[in-house]
Amino acid sequence: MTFIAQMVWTLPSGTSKCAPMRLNWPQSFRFIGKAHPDGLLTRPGTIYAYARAISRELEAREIGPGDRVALWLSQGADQVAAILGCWMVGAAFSVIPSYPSRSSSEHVNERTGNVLTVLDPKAIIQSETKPLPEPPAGDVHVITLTGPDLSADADIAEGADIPTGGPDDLAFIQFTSGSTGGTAKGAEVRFRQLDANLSALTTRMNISPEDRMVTWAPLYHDMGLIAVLLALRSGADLVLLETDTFVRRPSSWLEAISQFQGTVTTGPPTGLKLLSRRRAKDVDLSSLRYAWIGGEAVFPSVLREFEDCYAEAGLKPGVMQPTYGMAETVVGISCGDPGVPPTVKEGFISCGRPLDDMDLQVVDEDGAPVSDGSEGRILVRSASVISGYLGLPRFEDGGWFDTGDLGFVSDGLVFITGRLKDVIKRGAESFPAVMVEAVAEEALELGVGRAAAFANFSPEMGKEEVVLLVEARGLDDGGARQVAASVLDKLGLQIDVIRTPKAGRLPRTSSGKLMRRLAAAQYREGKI
Amino acid sequence: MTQAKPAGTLTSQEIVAVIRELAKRNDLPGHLIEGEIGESDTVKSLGIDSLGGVFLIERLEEITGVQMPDDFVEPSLSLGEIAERLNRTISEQS
Repeated sequence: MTFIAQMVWTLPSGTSKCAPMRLNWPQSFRFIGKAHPDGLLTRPGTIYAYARAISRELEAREIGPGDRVALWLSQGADQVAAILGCWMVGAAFSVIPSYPSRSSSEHVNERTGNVLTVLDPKAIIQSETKPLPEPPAGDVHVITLTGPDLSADADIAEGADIPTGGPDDLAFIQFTSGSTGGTAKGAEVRFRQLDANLSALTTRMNISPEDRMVTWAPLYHDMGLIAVLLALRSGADLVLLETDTFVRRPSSWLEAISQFQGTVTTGPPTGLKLLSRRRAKDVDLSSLRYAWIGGEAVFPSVLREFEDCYAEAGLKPGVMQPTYGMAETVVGISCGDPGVPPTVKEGFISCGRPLDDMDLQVVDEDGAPVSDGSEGRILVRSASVISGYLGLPRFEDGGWFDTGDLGFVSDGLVFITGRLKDVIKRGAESFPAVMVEAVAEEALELGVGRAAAFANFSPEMGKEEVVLLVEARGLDDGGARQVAASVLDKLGLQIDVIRTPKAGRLPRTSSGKLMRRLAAAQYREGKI
Repeated sequence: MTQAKPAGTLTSQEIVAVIRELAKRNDLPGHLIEGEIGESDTVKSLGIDSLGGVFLIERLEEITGVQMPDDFVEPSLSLGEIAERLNRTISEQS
């Protein structure tokens, strides 16, 4: 795991000139998936040659600085090479969410179409083995990859320049689930912001070329993408599992850490929960020194159960680190210090200190800062915060960004206690509340505004309880099951609790708009 | 809680009992605690997702003592089909 060469950025004409962001080649990549269950060991020179070939395909279609390219890829070598290929021509990429096998194909197509409409890419790069389910509409170039030429080994020591944009140019667009109307929003991440967040994360996690990153998180998720870029930033070796490999056999994650002596990894609490219930056998986790856990709320019991389960496998205390962040800050806001076990307060677990370049404050309903240990809305300000969403008005320059999350800070540590934004998370996937409500209302043939969906943070249960309230007269268990099945079928979301308040009991504003947060509060207080 | 059962057979009604037990533990949806559940009901029609499916597999393994693959509980399977599949696996492993 030694440093081989630094990618030197030369700037395509017409782009801003500033100090380049440093990326370092790892000594090796290993890609694990259906075609290569034992891992395809790949030299950096092979990936570089593959990326160059992709960049030539893009150039042949006159794709260059300022253009956007959609990536619909599942295999690791394709993904990494396509990212670098886009950057070589100065284009920004966006990994399109593929929502693997969780919801109906009709709905996947709808969501994919929604994302592509917002992105409006000039080209789509897809794989030969898994092309887009529906050809894109309009004048979009489609490039189909057939995998790397394993005999190719470009001399990256002497010609590794990766031409790309300057600090103010777009690096990629990260899609988030819109909380208003369910419309996808593309967070515009510029190289300046990416550089700031990668730098802060690398410092906090103390990642070096001696590390080996093992990850399976999908690259359409901010954590999955940044795990790959963190490896490239630090020169750490990368072991990248296809997400489907983990979904089909969760133990493959820990087996990969064990087999390849991973030192750093990423994953959501749901993955920990699964692997605590179905223990991976004969794994050695003694090499692991930092597990970056996030993507959804982390609860103490989930972490404790996992640590207890794998203590005999060599998992050390202080390795599992709950983190906090979001696409709007590239990914990271806070995370723990290596080797320091998280703290539990009021039933919630600490997500470490804010990153070194991150200003964070907790405010009350009037926007005034609260005292240490008091709950409030979390605001952040940093060089990592994006300047806006694709096609939407820009954020105020240098202003505070409202995360929409609830939490408190105690002794410098960040604790997340709830969510004010109308998004439900399960298995690190986000679901806009309005989308869940619309499916429920349709299933029960109710009018708009007769359903309320929200996540109830429950440290006792160790999860975000997904709650659906419906004003449906005489809804029996069969009816409740029908609604739950419909939401599961269309969105891939399991509803944990369904309650049927009487007509008119859901709180509304004077103009009749649903007051979802008040409904959630009433549920928590046992009033519904 | 149901104790480990020696290798034998498991009826779909016993699987329903396991589902209700898991629902009471908040591992499966609350609407499965009560109400009619029949052997023709599929995993998907009960509103159980892939994560819930893993909880069900884990508990069935614990009860029967037999090993099952991670995708043993497919969304389209009915409880009757799961019972059949389970009993076939039990007889293969005994």
